[in-house]
Amino acid sequence: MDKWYIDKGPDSDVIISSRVRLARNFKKYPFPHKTTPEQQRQIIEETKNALFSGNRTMSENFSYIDFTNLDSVEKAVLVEKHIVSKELLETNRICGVLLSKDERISIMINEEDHLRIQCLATGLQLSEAWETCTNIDDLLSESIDFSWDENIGYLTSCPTNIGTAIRASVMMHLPALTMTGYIKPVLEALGKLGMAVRGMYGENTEASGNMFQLSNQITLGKSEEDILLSIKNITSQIIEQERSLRQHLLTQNKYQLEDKIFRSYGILKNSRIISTDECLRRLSDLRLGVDMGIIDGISIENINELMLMVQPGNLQKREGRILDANERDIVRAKLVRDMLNKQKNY
Amino acid sequence: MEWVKYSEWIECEGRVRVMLCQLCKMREATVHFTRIVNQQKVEMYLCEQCARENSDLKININKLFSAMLGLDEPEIEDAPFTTLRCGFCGMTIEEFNRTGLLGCAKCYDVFRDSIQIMLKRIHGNVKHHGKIPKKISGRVRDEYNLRSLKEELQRCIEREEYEKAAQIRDKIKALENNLQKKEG
Repeated sequence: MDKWYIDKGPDSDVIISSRVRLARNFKKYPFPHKTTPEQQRQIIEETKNALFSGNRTMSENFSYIDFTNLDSVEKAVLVEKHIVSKELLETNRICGVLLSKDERISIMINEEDHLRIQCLATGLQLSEAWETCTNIDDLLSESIDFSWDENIGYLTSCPTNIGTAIRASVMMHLPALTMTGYIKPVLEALGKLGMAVRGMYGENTEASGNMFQLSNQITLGKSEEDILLSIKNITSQIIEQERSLRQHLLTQNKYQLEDKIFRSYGILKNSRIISTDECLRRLSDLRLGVDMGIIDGISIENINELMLMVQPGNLQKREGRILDANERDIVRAKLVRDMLNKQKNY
Repeated sequence: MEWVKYSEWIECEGRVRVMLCQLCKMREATVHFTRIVNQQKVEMYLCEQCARENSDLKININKLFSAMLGLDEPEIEDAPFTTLRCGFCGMTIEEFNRTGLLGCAKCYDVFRDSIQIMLKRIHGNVKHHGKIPKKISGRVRDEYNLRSLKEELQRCIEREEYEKAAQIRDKIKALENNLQKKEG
C-alpha cells in the first residue's frame, strides 16, 4: 500500500489530512432524490463523458467504480479511506464513484448532489486540494451546465451548501487538548466561528482516537479562498495550542505521559483481542509518543497505515473473507502485533 | 400538474406563484384543507388567519404547525394540510421541512421566502461571492466581477488600504468602460 494516506505531510504531528469537496448539480435534472433511475444512469454517463472526453490524461488516470454490484466489504473500504461518504452506501439510487489511480481525487455521483468532487491530501494542504478540485470542476463544466445563480451561487440539494458549495476540512489529532480537557472550550469557540467539528467519519460520528474533523459551515457570501483562509488560520491556532500543551505535559507530567504512552504501546504489542475503538485510542497514544520522540523505531507512516488497516472493511479485505465482530477483534490484535514487532524496538 | 388548474394562482414579483385564500381572497393561501362531505372530497385553500378564524373547519392549528416544522408526519388518511408545492418536481414545503432537501433548482424560487430566512440564519450573508461556472457568458461574468470589485473597494477603504483601493478603482473603471462599449 503506497497510496497517499500513508505519507506524512506538512504539520503531520497534528494534522493527519486535508480535504476539499465541491457540490455540483446538473441544470437539466432535478436533484438526486427526485431523479428517476433512467436520469440517474444518464447523469453517470454524462459525467464520465465529460471527464474522459475533456482530457486524455484524465481518462487514463480515472476509473469508475459502480456501486450497484459492489460487495459490502469493498464499499466499507472506500468509506474507511474517506473516498466516499456513508450516505452513498445507504442510498438506493444508482450511484458510483470516479476515482483517480492514486485515490486522492474522487467524484461521487448521485449522492445528495449529482456530483461531489473531492480531493484529499496528507497533512495541512488545503490550497493544493482546492486547486485540484477547481481544475476538475472547470474541466467538467466545459461540457456540463451546472445549476448556478448569480445571487446564491451553485445550487445544491440542501440549502446549507449553496453558494460556493465548498466544504473544506482538516483531520486533526488532538490528544493533548483532549487529555487536559481544554478541548471543550475550543470546540465551543469553533462553533461560534461558524465551524463544524465532527468525528473521524463526518456527520453523526464520534471522535475516536482523539481525531477531530474541522470544517466550514458557511458556504455563501464568502469566496472559496476566504473560506479556505479562515480554516487555515483557525487550524494554525489549534496546532499552536496542541503543540504547547504537549510540551507542557512533557515538562510537568513527564512520568504520567510516558506511562500512558508506553502502556498503550505494550497493549498494542501484546493483546490477543482488541476492538476498533480501543485500537484507535491506543494508536493515538502511540502516535503522540512518536511525534514527541518518546518512542522511536516506529514511523508516522507505519501508524497511518495501521490506523487504516485495523478498520473492519480493510481488515476483512486483507483476510479475504467476511469476519464477524469477535473474529475481527482477534485478527486485528494479531495484525497490530505483527506489524509493531517487525519494527526495531526496545 | 394538479395544482395549476386553480384559477386563483397569481404571479408575485414575476417569480413565485402564489395562490390566494379562497375565503378572504387577499392573503396568500398556505393551508390546504381536505374533508370528505357526503362522500365527496372538498378541498379548500386558505390563509392561516382564515383557517384559524373558521373554527367550524376544525383545523388543528397545533398539528398544522408541527407538520410545517417537520415534527410530525402528516397522516395520509386525514388528508391534512399541504402548503406550497413546486410545479416542476412536486416538492412540498412539508417535505422540505422534514428532509431539509430541495427537489430541484426551481424549488429555490418556489420556496424562496422560507429559504431566505434559513440562509440568513446559517450564512448571515445572502449573496454569492465566489466561483462562476466557466460557461457563464461574458456579460453576466463582467457584471458579477464588477459587483465583487465594488465590494472589495469598500472593504479596502474601511481598512484604509488606499493604494490597493486605487488599483481596484482603476479595474472598476476599465470594466465599466468595457460594459458600456458592449452596450453601445
